[in-house]
Amino acid sequence: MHQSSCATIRESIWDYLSGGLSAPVRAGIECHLKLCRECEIYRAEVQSLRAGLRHLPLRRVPSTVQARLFGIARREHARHLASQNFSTWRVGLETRIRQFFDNLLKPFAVPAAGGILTSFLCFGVIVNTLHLPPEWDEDMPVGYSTEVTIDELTPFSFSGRDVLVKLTVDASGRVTNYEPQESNPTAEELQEIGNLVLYSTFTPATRLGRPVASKRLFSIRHLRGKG
Amino acid sequence: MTGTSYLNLTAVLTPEQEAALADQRLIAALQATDQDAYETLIRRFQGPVYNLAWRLLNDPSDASDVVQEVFLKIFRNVGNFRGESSLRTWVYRIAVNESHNRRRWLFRHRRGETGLEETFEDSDGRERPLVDGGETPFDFTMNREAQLLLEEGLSAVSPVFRAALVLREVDGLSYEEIAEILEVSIGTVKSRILRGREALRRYLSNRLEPAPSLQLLPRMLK
Repeated sequence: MHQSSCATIRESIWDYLSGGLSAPVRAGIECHLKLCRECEIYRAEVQSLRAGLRHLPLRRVPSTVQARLFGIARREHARHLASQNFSTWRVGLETRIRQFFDNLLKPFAVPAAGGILTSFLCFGVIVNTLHLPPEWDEDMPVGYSTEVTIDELTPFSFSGRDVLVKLTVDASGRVTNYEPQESNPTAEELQEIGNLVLYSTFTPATRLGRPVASKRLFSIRHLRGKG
Repeated sequence: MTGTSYLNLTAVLTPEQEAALADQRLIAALQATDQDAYETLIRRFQGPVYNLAWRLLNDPSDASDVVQEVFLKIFRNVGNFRGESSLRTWVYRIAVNESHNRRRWLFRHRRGETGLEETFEDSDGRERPLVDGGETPFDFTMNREAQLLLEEGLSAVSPVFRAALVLREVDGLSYEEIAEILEVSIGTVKSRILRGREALRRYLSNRLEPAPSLQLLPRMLK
């Protein structure tokens, strides 16, 4: 027998035995089976197998399962009947709608939480790079305080001894008071010191960039030079 | 007008038409919330569904769970059943899908689990049978051995092929019905059945060596 022919016949044996083939095909198979002993043995095997499968015993459904099934039927029957009642149907509908809205955001909960956590993480990573150092060069030196300085001394001379004077200079650079700090000066010395400080010009002290009134000690000395 | 009547009340229905009509009545009764229809449906399909689930899962307790799930789904969805397929096809499709879902669940959750429950069944998961006086102990033993071997062979076939094979060879469904149940084309069904048959035949041939051919049920064939 031709090998491919046997393979084709064997593929059709199951349908042949179940009676699902047309008459000419059946006749062809029967003719082949009469001539080919191997295919006939195969047919007998398949027939035995088919019979075995068809006669497999039906297992009885356990009584506990049957009882549960009838319980399910009764419960579902009652549920269907209840659903036909309008008030019950309305309550059920309200419950379903409420559950729907309660569950609406659930699919977004995990992605949203993940997004927030990721944003915190990213912010934590880049936060150090957000620090901008101050550019001191372009700014005013407002952090400094300056003291009173003498712009120009008066041409009046002072003939007395060396003396230490505390001057009070207001915000406009005018001397508002002076106090000799050492020994008791004479009236003439006081007059000369007064002329000296009142006719000299001062730059007022500053604080945070603004001129302010302040006090400062000045030493008045005689310098003697030769030549 | 004295012409021909178009309503032939005496028409004889074929068994298939009668079955289809009975299905339609049952579905209508279920949709009308008839308590008896619920019980009729259970009595009619509990056995086939239970056996199908058992053969697909090889476990009685899983089959019991699947049967309950299947009927719960049927009762909850019978209102949406449009009659585009037969009732049997619809029920079997739910059973096959539930069995596949169950197997997937078992694969994920219950690998290596050992049950401790004592059941009223023998070691092969069968209910203890009542002794039937219709056959001799020898025939009973021989038939039982052959059946056990067949069951063993079926369980050794891949689940994808097994579903098609059981529906065709055990439950006797047509290729079209199986295609509808498994939601695949008829060509795929034929291919799966062919491969399932060959796998089963090969398994049994290996087990029955060195016997030259399968002689599974000598009494039945006679």
